[in-house]
Amino acid sequence: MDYIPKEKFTVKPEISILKETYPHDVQLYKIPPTGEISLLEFQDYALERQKVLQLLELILTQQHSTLEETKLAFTNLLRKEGYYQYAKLLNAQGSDSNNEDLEARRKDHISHYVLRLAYSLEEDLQNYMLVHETEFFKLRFASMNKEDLSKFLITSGIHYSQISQEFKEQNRENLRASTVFTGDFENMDFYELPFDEVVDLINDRKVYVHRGIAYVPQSEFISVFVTHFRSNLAVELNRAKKFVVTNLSDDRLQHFIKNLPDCFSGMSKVVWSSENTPISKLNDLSKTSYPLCMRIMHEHLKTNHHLKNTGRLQYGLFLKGIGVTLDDSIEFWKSEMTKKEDINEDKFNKQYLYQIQYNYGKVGRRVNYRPPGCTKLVVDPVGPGEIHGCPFKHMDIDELTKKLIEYKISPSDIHEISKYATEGRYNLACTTYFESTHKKYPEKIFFHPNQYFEQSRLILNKNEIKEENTIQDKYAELSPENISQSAKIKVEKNINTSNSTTPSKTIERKVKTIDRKMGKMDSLNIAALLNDDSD
Amino acid sequence: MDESSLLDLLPLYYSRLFPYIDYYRWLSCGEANTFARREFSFTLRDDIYIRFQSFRKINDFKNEIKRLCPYKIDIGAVYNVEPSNKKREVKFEPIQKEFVIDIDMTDYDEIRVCCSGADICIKCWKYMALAVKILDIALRNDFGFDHILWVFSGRRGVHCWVCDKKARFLTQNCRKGIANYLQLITGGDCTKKKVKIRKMHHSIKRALSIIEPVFIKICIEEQNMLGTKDNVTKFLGIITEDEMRNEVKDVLNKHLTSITKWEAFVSFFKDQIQSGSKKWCKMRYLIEEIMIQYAYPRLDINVTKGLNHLLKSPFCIHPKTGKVCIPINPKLVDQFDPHNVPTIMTLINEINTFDTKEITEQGESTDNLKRIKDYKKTSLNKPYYIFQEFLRSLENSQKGEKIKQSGMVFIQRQLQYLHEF
Repeated sequence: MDYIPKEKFTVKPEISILKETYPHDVQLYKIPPTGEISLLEFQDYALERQKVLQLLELILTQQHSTLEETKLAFTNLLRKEGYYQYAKLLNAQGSDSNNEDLEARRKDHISHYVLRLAYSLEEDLQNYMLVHETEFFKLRFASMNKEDLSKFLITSGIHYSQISQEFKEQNRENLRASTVFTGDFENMDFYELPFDEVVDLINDRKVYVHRGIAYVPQSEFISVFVTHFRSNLAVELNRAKKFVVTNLSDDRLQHFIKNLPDCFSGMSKVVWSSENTPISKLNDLSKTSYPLCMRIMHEHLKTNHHLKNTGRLQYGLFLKGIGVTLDDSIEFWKSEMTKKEDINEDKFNKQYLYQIQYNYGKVGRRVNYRPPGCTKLVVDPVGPGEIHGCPFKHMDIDELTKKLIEYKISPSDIHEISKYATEGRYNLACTTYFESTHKKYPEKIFFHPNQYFEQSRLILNKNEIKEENTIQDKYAELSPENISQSAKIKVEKNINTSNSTTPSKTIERKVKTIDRKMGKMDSLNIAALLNDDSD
Repeated sequence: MDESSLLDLLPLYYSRLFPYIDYYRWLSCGEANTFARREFSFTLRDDIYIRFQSFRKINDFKNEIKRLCPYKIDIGAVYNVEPSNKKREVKFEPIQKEFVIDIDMTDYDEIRVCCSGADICIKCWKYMALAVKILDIALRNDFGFDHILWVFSGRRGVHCWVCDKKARFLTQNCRKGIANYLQLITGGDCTKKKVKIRKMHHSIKRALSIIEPVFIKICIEEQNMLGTKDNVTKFLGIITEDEMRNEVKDVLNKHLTSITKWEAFVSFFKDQIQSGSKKWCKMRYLIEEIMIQYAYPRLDINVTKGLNHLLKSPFCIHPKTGKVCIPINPKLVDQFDPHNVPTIMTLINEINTFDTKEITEQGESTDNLKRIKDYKKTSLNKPYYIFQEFLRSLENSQKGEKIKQSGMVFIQRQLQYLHEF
């Protein structure tokens, strides 16, 4: 897996330059990469990072209780899937470096920038990248040792000042009560920072904040950087978008970049059903093939003829994903919601129609919205009167148990499900529910309600196409081969393709036919390409 | 309020009473350019809804309002370009907006017994008063905001507009952070225990110090928190362990009224903690959690999070109640009674009464009448005063900032000048 491109095909920067460019394992990605890179590498790096982020997404749905646990789980998963370099980066402690490390840092750098371009074009993609890159950064930041941390602090240019002992004494009680800390309070240093630079800590109520100033112990400095990283990336994504829209003229790259997210973490096929689902079947499907979250919402809608806004959004997009057409969708919602006394067709058209059309990208911003995945369902808050979100997280255990008994799940399965739910392992709980209702294991752990549906249909339809839906093959669609072809670059026939140069495990087979020399011929100037300062 | 009289009265209200000048002062934040890029949206008769309206000048705004007589005006963000021109721009994005909070009484339906849905009474309004007090101090003390406008939403809730410069330019992520900081009650219909305190953060402690003195009166007595079978079942749901729930159930069953039940529960709980019962000690903040769940503000958090989310404007007329969305003085919120809020009808009557009286007293010389502003003849006088006071201090801070800026420029120039020599 540790793929190092062969010398003769790629333009490789000098080690000494690499050392200077990448003094740290962790970077804030403030300066775009320079130098040249082969097209193949460009694509490989991006696909690989995309996969890494997808694995992270899976880890995040598991909701581990501490950062360390999350990191461990993620490391193991990366190793299992063969991403050793990323596993290493994730746990890298700082600035020690051999050549291999440098290579990995360069890859990290370039791939981040390529994804920035590819994920800049739509808002939900931007959000996906923001959430997952920030999380990745956070985990890696936490790996740094103390020495390197202080080096990093110095170079970061973030300003903060230490509070006096006097102040600490005066505000002792509040500091103690409101700060999350381990170890000795007496020896802890606090720093003053504007509250908007430690959004994470504010969000979780983990810091003492007074008149706009947050008093942050050094152990929580990670929050400062996470906030900084995130807001910087948010700005940069918008600049990247501008760049792609106005300045990116290379056909091959444009095609690649525009299509990369379409195999959105390999999920587009999972999310979008290829078949139409008639609304007359929804009742039955909700019992056989819906994940619990959607089943509960469907049921609630059927009995109460109403769902609150976020519920309508989540369930509506799920329906869109499983192949309910816009017209059917409108009819479905209308027929349900107008059963409520105070809603007639006219009122429905005024209050709710717009949102349905909006979800399908027909009105307003005309964005083709994707059904939200498990991470969003788990993380998004649920308020009074609402029943959306992940039932394994948001339902009290006894409520959950009641529901499952009602759905005739066997007692032993119920026990297991509620055990997983209390432990915060929601996707395992969901998998167990699947097993219990299908008498069969799903092929993959779930990270998307529509994926659940798809897997269920696959089993229930006894369809033979199973292998085709593994994520690997979805990558194939976007393999450099297809892309170069569609970009109409001539691929000479009968070229001596050596099997020994495998760019990455996932796209190995497909790449065989590609002219490896092309990489050299078409090597790109990354500086010109990625330096989005050009506007 | 029936629709036909609303239709008759709105033109009068918009031409004689709506405070255009102060409104413009407020929303322009000291810059004409800001007002011009501000999104307004209107709800007209028959639920016709138009978004992305914007106005370069105060008179454009005034004339359009008078022409359309909207049932409802919503205020949105300030964008990079004028919203009415947005189609011409590739990129159209919100730049700034007040930090806003929306609290709606319907979110209290699971804990209030006096009314439900759109109704409110003086009893459940107390929740709103608590919310205003708790949030106002949190915004001031914790986040350092000074320019906070509280507004009655016209029927059953309150809105909060934080207008400090820093608040207006908060990122979406940061808004979300503050919203979550302020939101202690989470979970939908399937979560019975909605508050989990792991650490007694200073903001929670302060909120409790506001809730505690009135908890028994408002929640236990007036809302009869433990007075009926249903309410007791709801309450017991908060205790998630079967065994412990049954223990509490037994304790409660020995008493009859809401208040004696509560007292019995509290002393039972305290005894358990003192005797060092392990399972109870795991929930050492149970009493606090219950108080929060029954009395802490319930925010509609999505309104706060979104930079481009719209919120109903102050000084609108609520089309169902006819009441004016008037500013509230947070210091006197306990005295605020939503039933005494003037309706469009009373306002017009007040003007007429005043005018007739003037005419009978002063004769036909109408000079005096013209000199007195119409709102001063009505019960809007006081709310307007609250608004103007708020504006005065907001503008002072804006002036201070401008002076600071120009001062900086001046010093820089001086330095440059020195440098050149």
